[in-house]
Amino acid sequence: MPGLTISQIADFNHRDAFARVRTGSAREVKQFTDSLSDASFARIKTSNLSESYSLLAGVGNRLGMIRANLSTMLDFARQGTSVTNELDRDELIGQMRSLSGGIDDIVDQTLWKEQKTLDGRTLDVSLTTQGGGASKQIKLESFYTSDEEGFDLTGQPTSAKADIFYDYYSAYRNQQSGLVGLDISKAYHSAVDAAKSELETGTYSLEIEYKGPDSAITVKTLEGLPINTVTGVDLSGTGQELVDLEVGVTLSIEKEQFLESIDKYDYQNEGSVTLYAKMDYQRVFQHELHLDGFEQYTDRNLDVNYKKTLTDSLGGSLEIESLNMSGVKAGNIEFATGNYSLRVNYQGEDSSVAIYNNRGILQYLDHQVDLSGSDKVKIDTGKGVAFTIDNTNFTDQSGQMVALFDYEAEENRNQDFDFTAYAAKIEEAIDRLDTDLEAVYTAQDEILQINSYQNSSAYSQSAATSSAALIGGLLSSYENNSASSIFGASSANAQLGLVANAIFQGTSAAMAVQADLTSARVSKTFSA
Amino acid sequence: MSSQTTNPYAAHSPSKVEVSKDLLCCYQRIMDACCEHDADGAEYGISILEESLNYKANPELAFYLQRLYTYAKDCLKKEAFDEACRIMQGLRSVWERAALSDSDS
Repeated sequence: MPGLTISQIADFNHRDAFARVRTGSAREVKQFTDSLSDASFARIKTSNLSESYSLLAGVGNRLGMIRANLSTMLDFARQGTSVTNELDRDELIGQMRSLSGGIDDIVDQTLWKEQKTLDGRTLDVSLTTQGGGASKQIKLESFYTSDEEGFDLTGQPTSAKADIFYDYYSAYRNQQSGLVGLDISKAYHSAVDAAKSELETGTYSLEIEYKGPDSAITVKTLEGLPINTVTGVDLSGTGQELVDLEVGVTLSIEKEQFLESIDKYDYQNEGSVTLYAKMDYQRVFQHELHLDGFEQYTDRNLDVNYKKTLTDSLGGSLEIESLNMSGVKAGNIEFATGNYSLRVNYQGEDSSVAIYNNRGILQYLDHQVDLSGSDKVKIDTGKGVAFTIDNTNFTDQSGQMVALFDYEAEENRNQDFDFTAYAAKIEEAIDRLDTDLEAVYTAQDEILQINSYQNSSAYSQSAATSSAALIGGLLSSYENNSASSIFGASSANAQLGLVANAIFQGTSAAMAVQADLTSARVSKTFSA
Repeated sequence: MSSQTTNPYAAHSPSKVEVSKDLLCCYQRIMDACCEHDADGAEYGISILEESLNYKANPELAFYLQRLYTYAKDCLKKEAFDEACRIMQGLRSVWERAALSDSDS
């Protein structure tokens, strides 16, 4: 077993672990991937034999490193097939995430004259000492682990990291404002509104204009230029408010009403007040192991299955509205994935609200809720679920209403990971890499042979040009596998003449060219 | 008393005569296969010649030969058996003459 600490295992399996920085917006990335073709990549071209060898040696070395990572991943995947312990499974998956992230790093960092070489390009290597003339083309695959046409070992959905902080300027102004009970506890990536553009990587100002249930949040550049404003945000009462800023980030705002008479700030008499904060936003690609049908992380979701409204004989009603997801307050434990029943026990100003799980165990209770008034009462459990109760002239003294809902918490689904299928994918990836690695090694050998031939004492300058051209043609013919592209019948006669000359110039050395031929092979082959 | 040293590898090196004999035999069989329009057999024979090429011994000749073998294989693919046979015959006769001249010297 690899030997990570428990905290490392958690880190390695964190949703944002091994995320890679992206420069384009989510929309641009999609357009780029959709239009991607071989033509998009410039060839890597060397100008002489020495450069060619240097390029191939570097590429061969890096491919060897990638292969080492794949082999270790394969070991882990095979170990995973017999693992039953949850921690061991998470450890193996965490390690494979790390190793596959390492492969992407190698691809990112393998550059030739500032061009990536391992992202699916063709190497056009010169086979002559002075450049020009013969060259050899080697088409390499993309070795990015997320490439669907290549390794396809990871999924890298577009995402972002967002961190909230209060700099001195913001903290000072917040302190002076007199606003209490409002705090941005967390920020995370969310979908970008179709009519808006995603934030670029950088630091931004956030301004929350507090006006109770009709507050507004503006995201601005550090220079003060407004980017987007979200209005109608209900920051009244107590709970955890989720606010989608529509530009790729959602804020989780913790709100606490300390006084019954004034909620956070007396905006009705004093006018609105502003809370200031700063936000670092970074565009990234998440990095997760990819298998068809497997999702390492599930997104939060809430579905209401059933809802009963109370009505009285005079036409009044009591209704549960806006049963939705909300933020999880710091220190609270989020509702686990499952079915829940929300029960409102109406008794005027002494009403109570309770949420039970599917085994009937109480998960949330507020035993003192005043539902006697005509204003809507918003209840935020602080554990991921919030709802509103609307009393429309309900006159009965008591009553019960119920809502049933399914809640899906964000969670790690490593237990569904199929190690056997993943091991098969890694084996396939290793085979693909070996094919390219062999082509690189072969080309390296050929260059060494050409070099040693050109440096030999018998080699004359006049022969150099013709031989290099010949060798180049020969090498390219390996790829094309088509002799007709080399020469025709008349040239074949000339080639025969060259062979004859070469043999008669040094018969003993010539014999050695076919010296590996043995009678056993010849007779065995032809008698079979 | 004079001591005699032997090269342990020498015993395993094929003699020139053996090489030429096997080589000529191989060319002959490829030519036979060509005459019988047995493309697979002829191609297999050529692949044996290709695999046995030793580039380090004589890179120039090895490349010339490789080029001709590739050309002959292409002829076989196109069912140009006469041309393939002609190339093999030409090579065989060159090697034959070389072997004879070497044994004379």
